[in-house]
Formats: sequence, C-alpha cells, structure tokens
Amino acid sequence: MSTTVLKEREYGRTFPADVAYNSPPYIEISHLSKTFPKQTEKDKSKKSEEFKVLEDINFSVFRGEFICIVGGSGCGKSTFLRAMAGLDPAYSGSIQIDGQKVTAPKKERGMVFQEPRLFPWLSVEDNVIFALNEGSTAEKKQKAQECIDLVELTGFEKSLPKELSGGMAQRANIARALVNKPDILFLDEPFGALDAFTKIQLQNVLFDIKRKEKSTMIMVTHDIEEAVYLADRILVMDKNPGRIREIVTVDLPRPRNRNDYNFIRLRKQVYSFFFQGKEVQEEYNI
Amino acid sequence: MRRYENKISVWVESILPLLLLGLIWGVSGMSGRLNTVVMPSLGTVLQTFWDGITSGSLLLALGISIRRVLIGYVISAVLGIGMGIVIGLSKHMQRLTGLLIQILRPIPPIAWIPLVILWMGIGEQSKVFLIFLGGFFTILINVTDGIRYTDKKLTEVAAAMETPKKKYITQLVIPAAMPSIFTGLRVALGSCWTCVVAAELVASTSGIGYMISNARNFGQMDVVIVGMLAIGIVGKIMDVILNAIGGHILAWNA
Repeated sequence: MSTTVLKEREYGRTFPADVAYNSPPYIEISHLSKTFPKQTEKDKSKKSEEFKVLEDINFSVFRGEFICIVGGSGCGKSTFLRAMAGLDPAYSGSIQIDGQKVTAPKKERGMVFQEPRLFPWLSVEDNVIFALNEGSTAEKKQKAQECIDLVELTGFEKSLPKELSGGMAQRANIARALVNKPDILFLDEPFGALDAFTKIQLQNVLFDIKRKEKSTMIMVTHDIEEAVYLADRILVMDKNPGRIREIVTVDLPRPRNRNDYNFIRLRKQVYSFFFQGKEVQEEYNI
Repeated sequence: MRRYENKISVWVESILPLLLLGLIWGVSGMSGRLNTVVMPSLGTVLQTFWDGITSGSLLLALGISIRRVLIGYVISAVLGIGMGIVIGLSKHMQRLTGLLIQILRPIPPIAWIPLVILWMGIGEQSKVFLIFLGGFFTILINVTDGIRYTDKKLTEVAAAMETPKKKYITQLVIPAAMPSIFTGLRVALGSCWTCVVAAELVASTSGIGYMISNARNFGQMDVVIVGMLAIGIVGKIMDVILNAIGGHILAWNA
C-alpha cells in the first residue's frame, strides 16, 4: 500500500532539505523483537507464557528526519520508542544509533514523556538545570535560559511545577530534554493530554526547535493529524504482535496547512489503515 | 456555602467542643453534684493552673520535660534519618536490618524501663534514652520507606539524563522522600512527648510526669489534671510549630 501512496504523490516530490537522505541511516533497527512475560492472575506459580510486544521490526531513520509512530493502544509503539531510547535494553535484534548498539539511555538523546515528570520541588529553571551534569553554575544557568526561551516559557523560570498549566509544564519538560543539545529527541505522546489549541501551538514550537537545532525527532502519537502535520515519514503500527504495517512518506511542503486538499487526503489514507472497509467521513470542505 | 467560610467561623467551630466541655464541667461543679475528691471543679483546676504559672513551678516542670524531649528527639531524628537513608538505599541493608527492626519496633518504651534503669540509673541518661526509643523507629521506618519508594517516573527521567549517583541521591531521592521523612518527624515528636511523661512517672524527681505522680501520692487531683492539661497543650504547640516548619520546607508539595 505504501507504494501506491508514493505513486499517487509522485507529481511533485519535495525532499525536505534538512534530512540527510544521501548519508547512511542514522538509526538502524533490524529484526527488533521484544517479549513480556505474560502472567495470568490465577496461576502465578505456573510457568508464565511469553507475550510478544514487538515482532521483527526493521526500520531506518535518516539524520534530521522527523518520524511519527502511530498505532492503536497496545501496539507496542511506546515500547518501541523506549527500546530506541535505551530505557528498555532487554530486546532481541539490533538497534544501532550512529553505528553504536543501544544499551542504555544517553543524555545526548533527549526523552520527552507524556506526563511532564518535572521534579515538584524544583523551579522550572532548576528542573532544566538538573539535566546538566557538567559546567559551572553560570554556564548551566545560561544553557537552561536558552532552552526556556526556546520553548517560549520566558518569565516562568522561578515558578514551581504546581503553578504551571499542563501546556507550560510540557514546555518545561521539552526544555529539560533539549538542554543537553540532543542529536535525537524521543517523544512519547508529548501532547496527548493537552487541549487542541495548546497542542497546535506546541507542535509549531517543536518543529521550530527541530529546524533550529537540526535534530532528529521520533515521536509516538495516537493523533493522526499531528503525525501528518509534523512527520517526514509516518510509521503505522499494528498490534498482536506489534509490527510495522505501513510506512507513509509525507512529502507535503512546510509549513503545512491542515485544510489543504493533499493534507486531508493523506490523513484519510492513514486513517484507512486503522478502519479498513469503513467509509471515512469527510470532515472538511474545500 | 464553602466560599463564605471565613477564619472566624473556622476558629469558632474548632473551639466550640472545648467550650462545651468546660461549660458542663463548670456548671456541674457549681451545682454541687461533683465529688471533688475524685474530680475537682473547673474553678479549682484553673486556680491551681494559675498558681502553677505565677509561682513558676509548673513552667519549671514543663521546661525540664521539654528539654529532655528535645534532646532525645534530636538524637532519634539524626540517627533515624541517617540510618533510614542508608537502609533505604541498599537492598542488602534492608534484608540485614528488616527482621531486627520489625521485632524491636512493637516493644513500647515503657517495657524498656526496668532494663534501662538498671543500665543507666535514674538520671537524665535513662530518660533521654527512653524518649529516643519513643521516636527512633517511627522516624526510621518513614525515612526508609520514603527513600525506597521514589516515584519510578522520576527515576526514569534521571536515568535518561545519565544523572550521576551522588546527584541522584542528594537531588532526587532525598527531596522526593521529604514528605515521608517529615511525617515520621511529626508523629515521632508526639510519641517522644508521650514517652517523657511515662519515664518521669516511674523514675524521676523533676519534670511534669513527676509533678503528676507526686500530686497523686498526696491526693491532689487538681494538680494531676493541671499536669495532664499542660502536657496536652504543650504537645499541641509542638505539633503546630513543627507543622509550620514543614509547611515552609514542603511548600512545593501543597
């Protein structure tokens, strides 16, 4: 199906300028599988069965690419992301970043969780500074300030997390992930709990950061529109066991218009992978 | 109606039961139905209370007891927090100390009195030790649990940043355990204060507990009640002070 997507869209392919398609892939995943022990409530003593979360995933990411992973709940998309980030090192197959096997998290690879996970006893500024392990206090302060400015949270440096709204807390979370100047940013449904307005605003902030910092971003989301808006390529995942179903290339020019004909068509296409056979209702009129 | 609640009505509500009890006590005393040998009248108790304050004997007794409590409490806090952090951080220490702590903890400090008097005599040392016992385990267990159960979501954030071990402990594990540590400190202060009275009731020639047991020997029930009330009031004041300090330190947790 992905081939038909590409054929249909051959009329004017625009390769994003900031993606290094000509260099070897930055992240290479081959035959990635992961199982969890499945324990039934009744028989905890019985030898537990294994439950396949991810099965034989093969995928490459180029430097500077924005990848979105979409899929229903339980398809293993978060597990996939956590494995790439090194937070779950128990997997089979191989994940290589820049030629190095992933075994543990690295501070040069930022991680943004769905919940802001700020330390409640530290101010926004100190939360960002916490991520820095080296340098003088003045240096740390300056780096933190740059990132706080980048996520447009200037003026709230001294605020405690409890004083922030959901969107502001998530900005602080992103600032903290950015302060080590990561080459890659892993994002696990970062805007999943935000209202529609804040979400759109933060999507733009995030993409501006990506463009400025020239980083690679891999984002898990359940919001198809968000994926079409941000991604260079969308990874559509299937569940039981979790595997890649389709890879959709989004070659729409940026900034993207959510009401554009091609945008909607692509969004419907991704939708159709989830609701096969069902007619997708037209939501916008052009 | 909640939004119309003001400070005065809250204050009235909290003081009302006390006033009511006092009223019942006072009226039954004036009506002459009270057997003053068993239960002195409110007036007598208030008079004794006032005399105790003006003569300084009550304040002196309280001062001696408070001093003992503070010494024992500080020792239990320092050791409890220190050992709690060490135990909380290490699975091995948890296994090594777990059973011992679980067996020692339920023994009330009062049960220690015979042994402690033999070991340390009836001087200050034995009282301070009993007070220490009264607070130590409460603090130890709260600190250990607070350190052990750091929110996984926050530890994962630290892991993703490759936070060095020392910073991880001092800037994540310990601050995250602060509410639990503080709960331990607060509960322990109460039990330390209870312990000083128990210790002084048995072996002492000074302090508020001694004042009560001495008055009992002379049948001065008004002095007994004054002593009891003084203990209660001081306990409440200590809790208020500690809570204010805690509220200040744990402002982020409100």
